[in-house]
Amino acid sequence: MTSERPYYQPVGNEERVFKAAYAQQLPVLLKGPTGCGKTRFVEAMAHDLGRPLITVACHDDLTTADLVGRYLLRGGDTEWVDGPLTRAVRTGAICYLDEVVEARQDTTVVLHPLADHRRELPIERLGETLTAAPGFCLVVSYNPGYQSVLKDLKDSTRQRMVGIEFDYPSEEVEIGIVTAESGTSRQVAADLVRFAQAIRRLDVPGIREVSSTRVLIAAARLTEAGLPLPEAAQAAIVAPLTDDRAVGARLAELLALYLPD
Amino acid sequence: MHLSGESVPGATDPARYGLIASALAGRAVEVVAGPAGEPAWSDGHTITVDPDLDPAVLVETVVVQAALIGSGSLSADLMRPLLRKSRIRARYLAIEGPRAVAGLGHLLPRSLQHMVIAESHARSSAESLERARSRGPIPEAAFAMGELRPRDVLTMVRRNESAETTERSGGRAHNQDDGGVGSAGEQSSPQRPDQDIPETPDLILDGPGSSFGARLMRKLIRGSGRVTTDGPIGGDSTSRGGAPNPAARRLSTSPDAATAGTAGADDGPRGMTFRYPEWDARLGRHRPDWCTVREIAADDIHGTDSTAADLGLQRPLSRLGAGIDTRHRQRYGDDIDIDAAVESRVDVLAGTDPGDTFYLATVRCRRDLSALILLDISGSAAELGVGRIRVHEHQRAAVAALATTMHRLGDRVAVYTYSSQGRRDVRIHACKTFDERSDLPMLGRLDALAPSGYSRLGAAIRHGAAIIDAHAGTTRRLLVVVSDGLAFDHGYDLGYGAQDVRRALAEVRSQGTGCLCLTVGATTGSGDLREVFGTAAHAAVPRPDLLAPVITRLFRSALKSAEYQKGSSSR
Repeated sequence: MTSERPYYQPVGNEERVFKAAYAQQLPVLLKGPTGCGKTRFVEAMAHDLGRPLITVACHDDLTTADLVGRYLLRGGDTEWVDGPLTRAVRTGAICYLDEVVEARQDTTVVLHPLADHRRELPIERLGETLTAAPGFCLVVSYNPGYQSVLKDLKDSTRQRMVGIEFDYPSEEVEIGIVTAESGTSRQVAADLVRFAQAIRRLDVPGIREVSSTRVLIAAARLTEAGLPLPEAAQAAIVAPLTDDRAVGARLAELLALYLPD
Repeated sequence: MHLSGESVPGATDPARYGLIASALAGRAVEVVAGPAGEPAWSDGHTITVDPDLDPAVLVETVVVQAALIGSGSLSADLMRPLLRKSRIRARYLAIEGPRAVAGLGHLLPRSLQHMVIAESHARSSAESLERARSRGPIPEAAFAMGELRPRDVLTMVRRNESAETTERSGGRAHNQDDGGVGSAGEQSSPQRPDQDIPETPDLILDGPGSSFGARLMRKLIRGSGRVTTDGPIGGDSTSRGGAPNPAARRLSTSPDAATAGTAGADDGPRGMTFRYPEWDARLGRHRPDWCTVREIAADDIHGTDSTAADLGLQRPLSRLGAGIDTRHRQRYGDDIDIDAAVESRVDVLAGTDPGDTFYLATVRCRRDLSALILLDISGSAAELGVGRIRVHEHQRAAVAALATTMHRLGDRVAVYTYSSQGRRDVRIHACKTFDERSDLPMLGRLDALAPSGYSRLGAAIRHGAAIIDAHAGTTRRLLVVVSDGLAFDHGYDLGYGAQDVRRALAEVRSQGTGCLCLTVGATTGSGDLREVFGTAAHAAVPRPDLLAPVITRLFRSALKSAEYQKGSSSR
């Protein structure tokens, strides 16, 4: 854990809600678009609460064994290796499952006894049930995403969580974040934020996500490294948004309007 | 490199301003080139500009027109008083244009901030209209704004009336059909302001646009044909006098004897009848054997066009990959493969190379996919959609591309169309069955389709699922519904139909078939689609060539949901 608090600019009551949930040993569900600050928020909370943070980036091939642990063969013997969830349960860490909806639902079911009053993790392969150490907190996040495509977090999982909703910050706050995180000027930050706000209002197929605060910071940092602003924005904001050549060209046209050479 | 079917706008192509227009309007808006010398104008969905304008002026007019859309300045309430009132129209634009732009000024780039005028002559659109009607001074235009065409806006509004308004007017709309106004509103060609004519009050409804309700109204109108008040509403009903539908003539006329999912005893050579239940949310139960579905075999008739546009679907669809399977003797995995581990230990003791593959892994390893595509050919599909192209053309192009691409990827594909004329006459036409090897006849049959009637979507979904169960023959199955998102028929109103469709989709998913709903080219709002399709994977794209970016995620979501539901129900 770093001694310096990770930079996080609160935009509502999210810090109070998180700390109250932690005090009551309740798991937390963070909902919000990509790059709006969910991960940074958890890092800041772990720092404030003085707990180690174990992060798992979920994907659709994530299995229960990846979370809980597995036996490995060493020579002629078997050796049990804890997974990240088990490590967090044993040590009382904050376990953060990023983009939990990407994991298969038969995998996330293992979270259920941990997420209610039992705070237990049954490990079938070991034939034992671990009780979570004090300080353990389960935090999951997901992006509600495009229409109904990703809204498939099981209700029984969802119902066990305290929900905190995130969105992109207001214009002024976001300009402040981009400035603070990148060291760029306020005018550059304002131009980038305005461009991002236009993109966020687009409902255009071919654009998988909208421009996050994270990519604005990346663009601003590229300018600090000497890249002209349009090039920085093209590389950090436009290019990651789409693989579709036509949509990319239209975004480049939009970029030329907002951040001309 | 992936190339979509969409062309990249050229240096003078106004389409390049489509994104800023969409950002300001808050929804997809296209910018298209109009005749040279004409001022810019908008119907609320498309902005038409003179491509020869100076780019700096052109972008200003686009911003103003888009801001008018985004600020609600083109609502029916505000447009109707401007019909045939050119002086007030110009004054309204002069006041409301700058107000709308200023309201969205935080979205404008620095290069266009000069358009944000702090001093406003009105605080709302209504006040702008009020001032426009007065004889007071109006601000001088500081930038190009184009002009207003209330009649074209109202034509589009008519297609986007609210679901609430339509529900309220459902019975009345039937009477309107009887009144012979069904053809009104089909005029789509833009008209000059000086050609404005008074609107038929009954057909112009106030309120914010909801395309869902609008399409419902159109379905009433378009499907009405020669309807009488007897029997099911909708044209070409075989239950009334007059010329019967040629397709229906081929069907058996004996009473339906089939039960759900099984063919009736009166099967004719080209048509079979089936009965399905329907979910009645008000009763909280199914109505057993409520709907009669007639499955009509593939025709030999076909249209002139037997080609399918390349919409760039092959690459995303080929990524669909496979389901989860357990593999033995892997280098990495979740569990130790005991047999492999024992053999490995024996090898060690025997002094031979033990290898390092002794784990069990769950991996994706097979495609084994089939899809039945259900295409909505009800009357509302004949309406103009995005780009002033019929929704039916958009949908047909999408279905043709989807089916041919999946067929060429080795998936088992079937294509059926559906329409209805009341619960006793739900028609499912086969364009391609699962067992048909070539996809070329399907393309011809798709080209020959003509939209008519209504859409009892729940029954169509249940029948599609039954066909999948009987003929798909794969472990992973998909039902793809391509529809404008409107489920409506006689005795099958908006809320009732939506509940039945959601129920039918849930039933299909519980049987292990993924459901995917696509709306292509229609202006139906996402909220309205959610009302009908519920938690099923669904998406609305304005043009078929924009399917490619979303199709993989939709398919995956549908398949994943079905796998989970199947697992749950089996437990």
